[in-house]
Amino acid sequence: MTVSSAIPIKFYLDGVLSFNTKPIAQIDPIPFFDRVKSSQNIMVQIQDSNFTNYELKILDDGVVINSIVFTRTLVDTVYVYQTNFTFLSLGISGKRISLQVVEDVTGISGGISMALSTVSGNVSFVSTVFSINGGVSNVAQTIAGSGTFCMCRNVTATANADITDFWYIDCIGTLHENISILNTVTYPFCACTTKPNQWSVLDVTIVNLNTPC
Amino acid sequence: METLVLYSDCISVETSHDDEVLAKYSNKYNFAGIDYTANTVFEVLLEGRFFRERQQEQNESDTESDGNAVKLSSTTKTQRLLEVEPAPYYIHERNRLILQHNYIFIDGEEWIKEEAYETKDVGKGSALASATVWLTRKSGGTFTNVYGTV
Repeated sequence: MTVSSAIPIKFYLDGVLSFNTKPIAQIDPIPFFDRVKSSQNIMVQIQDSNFTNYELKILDDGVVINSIVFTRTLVDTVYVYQTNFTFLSLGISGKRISLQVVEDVTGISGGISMALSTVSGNVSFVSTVFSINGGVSNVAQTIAGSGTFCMCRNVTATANADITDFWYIDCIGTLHENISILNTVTYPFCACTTKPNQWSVLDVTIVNLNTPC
Repeated sequence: METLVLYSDCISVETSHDDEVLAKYSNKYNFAGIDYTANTVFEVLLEGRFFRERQQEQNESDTESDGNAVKLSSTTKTQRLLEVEPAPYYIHERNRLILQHNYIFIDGEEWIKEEAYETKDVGKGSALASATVWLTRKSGGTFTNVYGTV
């Protein structure tokens, strides 16, 4: 997908305003390499009014050599995602690279607000029962960091819940979408993802959260 | 699942570059689509030079009824020339916006842009253009002496 200035997302690297309007293809036939010092402080800011996830990918000749997941640092009338890094800290120097920001517009409108372990493997919820969008609360989940995130639990639908927008990524990375959960039936599952902020659980009550993965 | 991918320009990452000018910039309010709520200071590494200086003079005088000239004021200010190596038009567009910010820091000093950012085509066969702009040293570079009024 190409990028145009009509896209309501601003992508800046060190304030490079052209980033959201100048795809690489436009530089042909004379590639122009902008300059960055490996020790230079890099700030990337993305703005969007949707609650979505972003991942910055660093490509060397088209191959992803590193990536950074954005976390939200400001909430105002717009959502601002901002991250700060150096290429030196990523072990990148003497290379000609390009960057991609991947926006994941999965329409996450709810999530898990409980603390979740950032260690690959077992579960760490601080509560055994809570609900999201089930009439009790409607909160956005705030998991941040990197690595593999896992959770294991049994899911029980609340009475009269309309569960049509439920999805998860299982331990081998397969995405399960549009899962239909019947009322009052308990579904055990284990879910892992390398992308924080990607859990989405709507209209369900979750119980028995301390089941090991 | 719908995914949107934004691409950057090509970037050369080196420990150091030749003819590099590191400019830092920020703004009091949100500007040019950038959110400055968190007082973020951005950086850009320009390919060029920033060392030629000049002292701009402004003199004001008037002539009295007896025909004698009277000097009213004299101002000198220090300016330094930012020379940008040939680059595509969108790099210059970016540079112009950067230099429109409230706060511009280069070589540890704060500068303001009072004059035009001017580009000059490299040649008919090239899509690149070089650019120059005189920046005024914000503090300690401007001196004004007022002699009197008519």
